[in-house]
Amino acid sequence: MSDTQDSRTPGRAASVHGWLQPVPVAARFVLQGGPGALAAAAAALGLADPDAAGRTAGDDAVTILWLGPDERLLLSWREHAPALGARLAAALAAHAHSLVDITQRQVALRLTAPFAADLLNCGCPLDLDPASFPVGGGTRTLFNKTDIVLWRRGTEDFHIEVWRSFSDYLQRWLAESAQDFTRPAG
Amino acid sequence: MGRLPRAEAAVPGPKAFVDFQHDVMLKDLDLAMREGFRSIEHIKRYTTTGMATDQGKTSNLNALHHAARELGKPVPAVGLTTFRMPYTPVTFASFAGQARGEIFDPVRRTPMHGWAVRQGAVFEDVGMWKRARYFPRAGDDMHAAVARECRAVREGCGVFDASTLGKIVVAGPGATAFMDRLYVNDWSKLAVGRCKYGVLLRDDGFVYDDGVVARLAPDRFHVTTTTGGAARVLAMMEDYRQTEWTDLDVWLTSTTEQWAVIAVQGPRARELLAPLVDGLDISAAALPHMAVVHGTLRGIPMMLFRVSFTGELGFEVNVPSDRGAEALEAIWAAGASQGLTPYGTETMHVLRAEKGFIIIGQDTDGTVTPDDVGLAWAIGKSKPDFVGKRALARPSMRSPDRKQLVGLLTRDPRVVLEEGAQLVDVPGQSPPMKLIGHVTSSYASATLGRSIALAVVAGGRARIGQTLYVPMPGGEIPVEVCAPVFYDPKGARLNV
Repeated sequence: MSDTQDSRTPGRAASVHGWLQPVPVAARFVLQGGPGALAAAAAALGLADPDAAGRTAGDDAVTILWLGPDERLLLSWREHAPALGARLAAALAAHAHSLVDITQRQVALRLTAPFAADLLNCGCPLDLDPASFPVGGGTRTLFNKTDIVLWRRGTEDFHIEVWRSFSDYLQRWLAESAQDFTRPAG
Repeated sequence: MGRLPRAEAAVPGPKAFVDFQHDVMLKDLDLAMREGFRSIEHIKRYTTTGMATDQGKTSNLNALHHAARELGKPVPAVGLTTFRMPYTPVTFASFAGQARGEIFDPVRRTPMHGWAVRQGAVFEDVGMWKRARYFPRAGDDMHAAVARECRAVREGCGVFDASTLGKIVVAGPGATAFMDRLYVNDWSKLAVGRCKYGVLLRDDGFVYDDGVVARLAPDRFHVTTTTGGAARVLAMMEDYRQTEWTDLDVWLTSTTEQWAVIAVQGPRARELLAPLVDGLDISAAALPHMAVVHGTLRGIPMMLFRVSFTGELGFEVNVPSDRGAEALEAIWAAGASQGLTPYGTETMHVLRAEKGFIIIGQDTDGTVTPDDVGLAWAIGKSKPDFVGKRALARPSMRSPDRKQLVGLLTRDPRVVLEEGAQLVDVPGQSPPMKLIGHVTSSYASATLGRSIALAVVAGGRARIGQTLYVPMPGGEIPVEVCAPVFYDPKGARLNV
């Protein structure tokens, strides 16, 4: 990241705050295919496919996010891309599918704060009321001019995936907007 | 109200504007009342006075007073119209919110941006991306820097950050059929590990995008797009995939930012790269022009493409984005003492123009067919269909008078034409002249020691050898029409 960021950016400053932290993700894949392929991949990971819009499934090794009827985002927390990719490819051999390593395409930020949902709503039009976007919900959405994938890990705890070259923009926006929530009143 | 006296009827008076936003004049209000409208709400709707975004704040009282006088009523009896939002003025700052300065628009930087900064790059905006345009050394202006960079690539070796090119993985059992239906090319015979230059049309038959496509597996293609076309090509592909060709099991994934891409180009590119690729055989026999192979570069996983947008022996090193800077440093450490020269987009533009390689959006403008820009060879002749095929069969699309890509050589080799300049075939005309085409690309070529230009000219290929003229404020510039490949027309330098 050191080469992609200007040390003077508010984005850099934001990550110094406790509420926004970079998250290491060992591997990421986009898996696309029919229900058989999606179920086979989930089974190989010891999980059930989250076969419902905006839902996720996962454990401490892998998280599966439903991105579309035939599309899942797989986040691996420990196993790296070559080994996980080979394991999934073997499980998917009998199914028409597309499995693409996008580990480096995007980066992850974790936003943890009492004001997290309100801060996200400074740039994201999604209804983040827990009744509409509950803990465990995940979806592709927008933050102003960038695509993000948003996954609610807790009421005040969000995991954000963003394409790497848009990360600086996202962090600058969050840092700027956060002043409304972190600045002392008066 | 402040109505000025004006001559009645006999001579037309000055224009008396009431509503400055909607250009409503006193005579419009008069006409409304002559037509029988009496209610101020009807007068408003007939004339649109007070209906602009200021909701009449700059106009309504003028209109009311005029209507009251003409209707012979006191102003309060005429009444006000219904106010709608915005009731109070809204500043532009409120609309802009935080979208200003650094966060007005995303600024995208490649993984090797910092390296380019340290090399003294001058950057240019390409879409949202910052791309290194040229690398001046002490005392260099852009012309001197570009000439030096061009010579380095033609005579030795240059290195270029090509990471911004769009990349899309097209995968699934239906991948070949999908590519055959979408691109003009025939993909069925492309072997695994080989590449082909792909041309994508819209359904109106006009060139939309281009790029090298590699077959990574029988059911998997690595498609590259132009930097600016990455998002719209993916959107077009998804549109066809989801709505037109639901019979195909094929899926699309953007990998633009998965890979950092380092182009190493020039006659010495192979000898420079060979010691770095951990024993991989990159000889001409093992890795010919338009081939791709997997390997490692100093231990970094790599997809190595033997491709060239310069006309020289060339490679594009693809490594995972987080290791792009490390890979470039390794190449730089090995090559800097050997004359390896960083080059930017400006040099890339000159080198490709010397070879007659088009740039989408510069040499094309959404109205050129593959044949217009000399790419008819790319069309798979035996394919039953592809996007744009039917449009290409229409008579106007096959006319020999269409504007075609040609080269231009100015009679005075020092004169560099203006891009966008118009062309005429009959000198000495007064405006309006009969314009037959325009210059699309124009550069001083250090390689050729003279200026070169690409242009689209009506019936251009039949005019090769003719003299045309570029009318400019300082006089007409005579140019000779030539084939659009100025350097190494047989491609001997590519296949080494």
